[in-house]
Amino acid sequence: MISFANATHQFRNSSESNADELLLAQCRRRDFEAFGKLVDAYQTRVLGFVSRMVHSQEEAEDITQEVFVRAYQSMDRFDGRAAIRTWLFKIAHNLCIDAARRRTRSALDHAVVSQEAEDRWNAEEDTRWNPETVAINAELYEVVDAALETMSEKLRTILLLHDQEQFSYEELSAMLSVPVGTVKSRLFLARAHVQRAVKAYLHELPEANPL
Amino acid sequence: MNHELNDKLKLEQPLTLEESLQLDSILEETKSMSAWLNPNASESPSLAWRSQLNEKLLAHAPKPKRIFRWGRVPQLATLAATIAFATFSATSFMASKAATTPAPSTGMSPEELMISAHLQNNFSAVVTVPTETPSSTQEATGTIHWSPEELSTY
Repeated sequence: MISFANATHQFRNSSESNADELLLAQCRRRDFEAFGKLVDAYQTRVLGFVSRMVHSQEEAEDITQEVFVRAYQSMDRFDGRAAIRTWLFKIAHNLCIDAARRRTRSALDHAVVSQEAEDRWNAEEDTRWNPETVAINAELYEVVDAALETMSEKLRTILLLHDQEQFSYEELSAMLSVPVGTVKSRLFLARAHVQRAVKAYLHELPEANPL
Repeated sequence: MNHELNDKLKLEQPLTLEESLQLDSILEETKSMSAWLNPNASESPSLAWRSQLNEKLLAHAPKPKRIFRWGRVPQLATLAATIAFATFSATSFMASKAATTPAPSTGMSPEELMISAHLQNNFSAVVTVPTETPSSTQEATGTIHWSPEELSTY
């Protein structure tokens, strides 16, 4: 049985994709105005994703502009098999990886999980717990943001695209050219990374929330 | 979760069916963690940013096809000059031909023709008499013959 939330999500995705198709047809005719609407629809979400991937707002803004310029340039080569949203985020992801390669601390030099994180991981017990018991507030957001910054690019990408941008496992698999199982593994590791940071934050509180 | 599965996940190794199901279960249980991601972290870009993007996009926009090509100016000028010359030549030829063509002869000189026309106007009189209904445009025409008695009344 499909839950109400899932049905709403599917309906929203369906109407979004219809609007995307109409917009795509106009953009393929090199309609500058139509492409402007595309930018309006996605600029905030793409910038939000890129900002969390590169840590510098200035660099994020430059990369986001580059995303749309590249999309505009290659609009006639877009085959339409994937949704525009997937295509834009794929361009954004690729540009973020390129930017990470240029940085001194290359993302590719990092393993999926750092050695330090691995040591802590091995020292911990079963990571299953109930995240719904955690009160969401501004401090928690800060803790999670900090955890995102210390996460490898691969894990962060999956976490942001799945948990924030609502991409499915299959969409992420196609976008990142990795098996669905790998997407799930990375999502698990990313959530575990955030979970550890949140646990540490909660234990530091005067009245720690029993987990 | 056992360490063997942990290792497999970290090394991105393929999982057994049982391990896959276990992973799916954990992901389902931790689904609500997505609420921890700050939904307000994404700020709308500034107008200056958007304006800069528009400039970049316009720089990559396809240029409209030029209707007028400057390279064809000499050819067009030559064509225009040819047409002008042909028109001028034709006009000159027609004028010269009209000048050399004699007027149709009636056997009278122009002076005689003018005198004849004047006399005809003097000898023919047309009197227009309005009728009772203005809408009707019936005209009574004829030659008036005044008798001596009529003339004597004036």
